[in-house]
Amino acid sequence: MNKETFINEILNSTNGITKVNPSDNLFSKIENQLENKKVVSLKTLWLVAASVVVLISINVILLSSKSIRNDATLSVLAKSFNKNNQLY
Amino acid sequence: MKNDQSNFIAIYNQYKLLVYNLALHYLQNVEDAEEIAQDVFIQVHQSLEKFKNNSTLKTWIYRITINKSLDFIKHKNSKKRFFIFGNKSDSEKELQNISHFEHPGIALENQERAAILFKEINKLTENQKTAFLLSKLDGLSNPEIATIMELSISSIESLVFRAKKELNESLGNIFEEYRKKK
Repeated sequence: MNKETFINEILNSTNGITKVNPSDNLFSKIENQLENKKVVSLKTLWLVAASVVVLISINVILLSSKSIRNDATLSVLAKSFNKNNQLY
Repeated sequence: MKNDQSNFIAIYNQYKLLVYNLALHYLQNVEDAEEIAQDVFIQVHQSLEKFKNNSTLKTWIYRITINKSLDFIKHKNSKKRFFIFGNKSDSEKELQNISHFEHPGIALENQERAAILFKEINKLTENQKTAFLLSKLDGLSNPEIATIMELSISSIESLVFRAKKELNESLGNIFEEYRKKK
């Protein structure tokens, strides 16, 4: 066999190629994956919502404890001013 | 809702052959081609509302299939490179070297020669490979390929020409190697 014949035989090996059907259960596999994606995105939504609630709660707690400390500090300061400003 | 579902089923039935066979041309493996077909139709389902009719549905589905197939190949190749650094036994190395060529659309008597051809096709650049596969195996015209690949017709002509030239060269080298072994 010469080189040209060899090359042509290889290049022509796909002549007459036919279309093949995928397996019968391919569509049901696709449907299952679509269903799973719906469930996963609902879960994700709940997780995100829960995370936001937790974050907001932490912020509220921190802010309110900070304001309590501020009030306490202010009242101590106020007392000390009163003492210092006493003229008589 | 029912309309969407029946619309999707109609699209699936119309294009399943196109998608599955195109994936087979790229991957030459039934399991991998099915996986790609699943990914393609899931994307079609998820993106159908956003499809703006800038191209035909067929062109759009062609593009998704091509992109999914090329991404799959890239991912597979990067995994192979990672495992090169691992220690393998001789038998494991042999297993890796065994061809997984599997294209049920090709006649049995041509499988061995087709395996050689696809091995060389797989070495082409992505654009050359796509242009060649769409032209030679899907029988599309250059204008059709140009629309799908969003390139000019002359670019497609050039890609197909270069792909054929490279295949001729690499197959010629294979012939020379066979001759030397004999």
